[in-house]
Amino acid sequence: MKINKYKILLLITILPISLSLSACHINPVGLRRSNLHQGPAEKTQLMLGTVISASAYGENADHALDLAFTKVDEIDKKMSRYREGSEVDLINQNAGIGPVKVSPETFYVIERSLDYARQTDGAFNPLIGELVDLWAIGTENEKVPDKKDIDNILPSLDYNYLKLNKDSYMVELTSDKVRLDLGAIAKGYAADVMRDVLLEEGIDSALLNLGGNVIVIGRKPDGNPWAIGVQDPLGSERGEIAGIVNSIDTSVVTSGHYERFFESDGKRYHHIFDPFTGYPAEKGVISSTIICPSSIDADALSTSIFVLGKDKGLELIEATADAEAIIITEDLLVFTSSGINDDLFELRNEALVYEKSR
Amino acid sequence: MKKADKYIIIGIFIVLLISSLWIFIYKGSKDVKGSQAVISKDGNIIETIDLSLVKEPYEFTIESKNNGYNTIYVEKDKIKFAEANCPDKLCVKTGLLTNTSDIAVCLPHGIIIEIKNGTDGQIDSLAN
Repeated sequence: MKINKYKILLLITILPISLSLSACHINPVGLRRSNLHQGPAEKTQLMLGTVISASAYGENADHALDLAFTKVDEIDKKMSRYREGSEVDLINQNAGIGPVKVSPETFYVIERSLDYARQTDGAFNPLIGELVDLWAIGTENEKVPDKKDIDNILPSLDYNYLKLNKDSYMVELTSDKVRLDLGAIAKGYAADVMRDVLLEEGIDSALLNLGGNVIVIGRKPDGNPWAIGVQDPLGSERGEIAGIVNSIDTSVVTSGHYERFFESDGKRYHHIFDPFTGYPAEKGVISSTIICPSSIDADALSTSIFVLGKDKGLELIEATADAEAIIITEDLLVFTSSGINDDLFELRNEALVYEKSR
Repeated sequence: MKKADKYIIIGIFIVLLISSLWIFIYKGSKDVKGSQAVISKDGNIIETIDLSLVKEPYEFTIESKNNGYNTIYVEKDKIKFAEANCPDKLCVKTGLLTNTSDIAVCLPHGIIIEIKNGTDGQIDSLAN
């Protein structure tokens, strides 16, 4: 009799314990733990004058991310205009004096800049540095400059002052008034390099965000495409989205009038300049998103569309292989290139409507 | 009362204790699913805030080298740089962070606020 009571006692005690233990496998504690175990390697660093965050899946992911960030640091040291002794700084110091030999990497990025300058008849301009400094948008000195100061700079924005010699990797600025600035394209290049490093290390699922330039490898581990939000240009809060790009092995880059700007006398001055006027581009575009495999292309194209406007911008996109665009204009219309469909891009903001001919 | 009955009463008491404890842990873990704000300085995480558990809004200040400071404002599901003495104030201009994978940064002071595990979860990253 006594023994039986002990047995009952034992049962009463053990049953709930074993129940709660087995329940652990389906409760959120258990799930979160197992997720963490197989979760991505993550890394966030301040580089290229912005914040770069990356997550990658796979056994080798931590090591692969370390390698990728090391490469970005090298790019930063070579291509930043504001780092004394960088290759771009040396080119600028020798403006009007003579050619400078640079690394194949820096040469490649300058060459691509010049390609885009030619292709866009100068709308994309790697010599915009002086103008950027004059406006100083995003710094404590930001102001609307005197018209005559702007007019003084305009002649020096001619990309023909930039001379390249591919055989010897020599770069020359043929006027002392000209300054090279790879800011509009370096983040895109760095994104491509990071992706290549991760691919070489065998990573088949990763998400990289370089100050708003996104590039993804493969799909999410659950098999779905990466859902990349496009910042709502009208949103008062960051993270409000105009729509979602379902992304697989591609780069998504958005340029917007909301990124860096100041207001003076009720007028907004954003950070993408029209090299023909010397003022922020006013072609009616408030957001341009490019989807294409190469992030350096996406970076250059999104900037170019701001300066070209939607019509010429879309022409440029249609003429570029593998590139698609989503353009939002100030009258809240959404224009898309021919390869954009509802599977690739989901419009999520009711204030925005597709233009009729779409 | 027999000795064995005492054991039974104690046994039931233990069972009750364990199950209530289990419910407590279970519920607690559910709340952890809310969005987290991870604040780092010079690459090191200095603060993690579960934004879904914030009841009353509050502010705190992070100091950095050369008398730099950033005041951070927190309310339920939201966080922002409220004030700073950096030259460009880009961190303050970024405004409120709410969604998954959103980020605000003060480059001059090396401070990053990153949102992780957001509850809305409709996007993985933001192009902007």
